[in-house]
Amino acid sequence: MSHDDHDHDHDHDHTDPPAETALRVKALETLLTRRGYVSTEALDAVVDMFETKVGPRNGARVVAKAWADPAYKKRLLERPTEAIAEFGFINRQGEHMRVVENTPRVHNVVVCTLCSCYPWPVLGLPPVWYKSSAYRARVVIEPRAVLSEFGLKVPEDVEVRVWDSTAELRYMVLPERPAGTDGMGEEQLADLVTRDSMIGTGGTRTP
Amino acid sequence: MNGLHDVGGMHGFGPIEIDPNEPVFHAPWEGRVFAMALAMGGHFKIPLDRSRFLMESVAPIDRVALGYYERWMNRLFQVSEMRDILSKDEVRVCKAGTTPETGSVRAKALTRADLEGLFNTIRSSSRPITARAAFRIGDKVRAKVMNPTGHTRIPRYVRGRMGEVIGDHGGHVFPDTNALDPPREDPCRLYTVKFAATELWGAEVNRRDSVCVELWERYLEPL
Repeated sequence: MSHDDHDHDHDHDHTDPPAETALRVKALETLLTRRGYVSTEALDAVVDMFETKVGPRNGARVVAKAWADPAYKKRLLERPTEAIAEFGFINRQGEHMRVVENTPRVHNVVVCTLCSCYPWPVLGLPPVWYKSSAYRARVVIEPRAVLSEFGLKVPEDVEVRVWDSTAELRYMVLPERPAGTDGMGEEQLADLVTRDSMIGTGGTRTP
Repeated sequence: MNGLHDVGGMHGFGPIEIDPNEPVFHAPWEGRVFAMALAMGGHFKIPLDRSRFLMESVAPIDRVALGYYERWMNRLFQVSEMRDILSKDEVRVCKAGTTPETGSVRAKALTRADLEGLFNTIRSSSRPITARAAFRIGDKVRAKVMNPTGHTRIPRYVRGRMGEVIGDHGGHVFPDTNALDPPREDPCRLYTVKFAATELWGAEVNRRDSVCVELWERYLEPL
């Protein structure tokens, strides 16, 4: 294992690995394919699914519908897994969804301090920072400092409530509907929802 | 286990490195590792909790040196060997970056439909239990002081701390026993417990702030 060309002053969650890693993975794939355990076509399909189909646009549609339709919002908060499944977003890592609502009094933010649990069906795969030790270590002890690194200032009199995903429940934040969006349809509203606003580390876009 | 994975509240990691234009996979091999992990899950048949424990058991020095998907890759090799899908020799040759000569086809390949099926298969960890709830919403509880050497999902930063039950999720598979070999689901009631930030970190932090953590009944004691 030669990592000598790497500067080890921090942990490597965003690693830029040596070329031999790619060779190892290629060898493993070739062997497992020849043995019949996997097929290239099937692996391509999984990569494509997560690169193009499963991602934060799914969650944005859920949030937009909750903003536009009070009855849906009620279902989303009370029976989130079922309400999200109305869109067909019901699969691995979304078995037990919970939706936590931001209000003028409470700002929610989601983490997994023990690994990197994340609601795949609505947000896709997590960004590197979400999986990093820095985020996982710090957001529970100094959430306001972490949020300010994302450019989010939460007023002192608003509670910051951090949700640590230690079990199989998966969290999505329902951000507040931005001002000046009266009369907008769900499609337009969905364009205002950012991935980070559904993790709690960012705001929504302004129209 | 008190491992390097359990980082909540640690210092020294520096600022959060945010890349606003990050791709889903940073190199093609990351996507292949992810897809193989999903596909091989159908052959490995080990519980998620066991899989997490294998990851946590990597020696701290190796954990720090390896990237996220490199750790996934190593686990693929490890479990393939554990499950006699690959021999020790084959793993060694693959790790050297070359593909070993292969014998006969051993398994039925998963098709694209099988894999989509795997992703779409709901794996609920809810289980019916008959035991009555020891705690009710609003109860004050203490997270036990405990230091299990196996897999556990009670983070170190809440152990010994007092909180309030704010959610009851019924029975869920208990990770500590489900990670054993052979696994035992041993379902147990799962709660959400809300801890005041000041209870966890001291008087210096904003007294309004809180951290909510899912904890199984076996991790909790009444006050």
